[in-house]
Amino acid sequence: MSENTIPTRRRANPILAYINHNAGILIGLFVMCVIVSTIQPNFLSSKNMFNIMRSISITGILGFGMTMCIIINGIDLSQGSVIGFTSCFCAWIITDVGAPFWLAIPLSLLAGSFFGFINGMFLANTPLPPFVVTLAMMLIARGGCYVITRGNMINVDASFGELGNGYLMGVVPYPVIVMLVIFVIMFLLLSKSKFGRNVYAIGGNIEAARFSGINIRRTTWIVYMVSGCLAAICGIISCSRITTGQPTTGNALEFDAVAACYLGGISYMGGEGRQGSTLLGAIVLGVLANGMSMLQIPWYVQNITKGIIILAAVFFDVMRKKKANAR
Amino acid sequence: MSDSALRVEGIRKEFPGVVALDDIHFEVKRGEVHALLGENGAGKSTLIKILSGIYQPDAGRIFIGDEPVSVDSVQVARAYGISVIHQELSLARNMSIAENIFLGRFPAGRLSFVDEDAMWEKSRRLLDSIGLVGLDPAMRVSNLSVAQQQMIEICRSLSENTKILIMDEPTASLAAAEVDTLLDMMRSLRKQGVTIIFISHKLREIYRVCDKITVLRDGKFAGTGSVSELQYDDLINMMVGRDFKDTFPERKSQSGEVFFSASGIRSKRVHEVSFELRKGEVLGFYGLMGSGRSEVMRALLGIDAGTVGNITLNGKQIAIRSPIDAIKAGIALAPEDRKLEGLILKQTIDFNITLPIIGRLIKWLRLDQKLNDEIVDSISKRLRIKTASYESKTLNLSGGNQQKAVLAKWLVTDPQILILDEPTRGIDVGAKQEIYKLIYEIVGMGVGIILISSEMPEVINLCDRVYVLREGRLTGVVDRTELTEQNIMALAIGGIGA
Repeated sequence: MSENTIPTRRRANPILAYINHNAGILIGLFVMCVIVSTIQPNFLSSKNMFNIMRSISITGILGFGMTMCIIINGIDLSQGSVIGFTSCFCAWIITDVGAPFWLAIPLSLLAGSFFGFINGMFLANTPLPPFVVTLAMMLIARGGCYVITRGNMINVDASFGELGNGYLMGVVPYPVIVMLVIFVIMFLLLSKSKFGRNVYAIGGNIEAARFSGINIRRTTWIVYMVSGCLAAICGIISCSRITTGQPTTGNALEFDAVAACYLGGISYMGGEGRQGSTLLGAIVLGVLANGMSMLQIPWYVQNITKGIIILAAVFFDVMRKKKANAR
Repeated sequence: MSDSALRVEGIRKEFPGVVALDDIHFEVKRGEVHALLGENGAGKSTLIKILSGIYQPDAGRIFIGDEPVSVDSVQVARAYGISVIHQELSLARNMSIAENIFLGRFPAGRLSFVDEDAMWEKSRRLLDSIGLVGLDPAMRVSNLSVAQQQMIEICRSLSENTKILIMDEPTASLAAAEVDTLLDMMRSLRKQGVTIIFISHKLREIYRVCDKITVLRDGKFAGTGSVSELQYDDLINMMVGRDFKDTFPERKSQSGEVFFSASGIRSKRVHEVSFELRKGEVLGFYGLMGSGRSEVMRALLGIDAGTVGNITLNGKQIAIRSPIDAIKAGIALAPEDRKLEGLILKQTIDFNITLPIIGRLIKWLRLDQKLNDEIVDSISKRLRIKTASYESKTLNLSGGNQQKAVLAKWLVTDPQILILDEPTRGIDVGAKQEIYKLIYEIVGMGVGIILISSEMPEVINLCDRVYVLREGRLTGVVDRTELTEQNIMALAIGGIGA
């Protein structure tokens, strides 16, 4: 670049920019799809595609919240337990209390979001580390599941299952719609709004953010509240999908969300990461699981493969950054 | 309205045990570039922190224009138009130039979405105004050079309507061409009526851009004058010329023959440094901040990436690739920051002292407790470490005793060469004397000591010979007979001409 030409405002084509930014994972995804579909042509059927999308809807929604937590150098380990709590609470309030659906859903959302509120309260106002606070909240929320259900299952009226199992116009599963709507909102929030810039600033250099007058407390608090609220939405979807409140629902799902973030190339040092990449990371996880099932690879091998792929993805990402820094 | 931009009268600041600033008078005229000069620890940083609202003075008054003001927070300082470019850059490296300039004040468009176009356009104009015409505001800050990042910070200050810009050693990590650009930019800011307080150790730069110089020495005002009138010799005398108190012990032993030499030490911050060390010698390394005095040793021991031409120890050529090699060869480094690098504070004295030789004390999973206790006991007595028990945590020791624990830790390895980086920083006068005595006792045993220090009296009174560095280069060696403050300072600060 020459020093004396006046630069013009370049508007990169957003689609090209997206492809460029996610080139590695897109190639990986493409190769995976080619391999699986050659052996199992059924893989490419639209029914299977929507199946994959539905299977990743929860991981995706959680991942959008997790992305913001990781960008500000935090983590939210309580997401999976909040899903469990919300689904149990939802089943309980419908079956045992007898609330109508239109009331049960907002109340469950509120109950689940409360955990995010508490996480945010501690992380914004005390120097406690995110790992500890959200780990404690993970245990508390999981314990809450058992308190509500007394360790049993609570069955819900089958008509509540429409949300988790139904299709829009008989084709697109509702959870996929929910995920896409949330994706658009989260995308705008993180990459277009002032709030999103503050998130990146805090993750990049918290001292610079402080001296620039950014309200670090408020931003941190909101990030964890959003994460908790998204987990609560997942909890309601889970409850509807299996039409029961089970205390084990959502177990360890936060790790799938973390995996989606890292596959999407989020920086483990904070300050970087995009919702579009996390969505792609979730899709890769879904295709991986679906493809291996179609190829009849036993589930225990699937987990090993998943682990290796995550390790490899982060390894290459770190190496690439190291190379870029060495310049 | 007078033409005074900023004036301080009788500023005094005390920290527990130290008077950092005493009765400082200092005035800067509007649109002037004013250099603040002084040795390390002269009080420049404290003064800046007071002007920028980080510290509150214990006495004295600050005037902006002719108004007496109290600058009690960073926000207040900014409201008065004072802004500081610190040595460590405070940019978010993951974000674009434009985002950094408007950090925390993002211009909003519809729906509180950030107005990218407005931000880009305003940044463009700011970059233009300081001569960075070719830079795209959408570029990420991490892709910029340090010099360019500094310019971005300056842009940020300008976007806040800064009237007084304080620059704390902005040229310390810049290459020569970048320094030129920065100085040009300072001149153009001066034309726009911005007042600049410029802190630098490099006289050449000061004489190229500044109008006036004020010198601080040991927290006191030492003199002021315009660049055109102030003679080089006067300046050097203002910076030094303190009277020594009788705090140094008597030297009993003499140094022997050369037993160690290193040549062609090179790294990012060090250019072709070579030196020799004699048996039982206290060899000084002096230089102002950023001269690379610690970096020479770091490169020698393989801590920083770099190359060393040739190392000879006792007539044999050796290679040192890492600190482990150095310890094996009998070279120990007591680093600059004893809390960060020298001691494991949460552990006991006992644990810390025997850490370097613990492999020898543990046989088959069993610690030889008796030998361990003997070693700890004898070294602690020899160094007079004052503590109730060797089982107490080093965290609870005084600074002087912590430093002794660091010495003890390295003495148990039986080094031939001991490198001490600022061994008396932050400890009181009595403890300093103790350390000085110990240094003489250690060289009395035939160990060669390399003393890296920014304290002039220490260097003059303790050392047999002193190597002086400036900007990573060796500028001279001063022998015992010629050790004077003036000699050393002249080498450390360099001449005025190009």
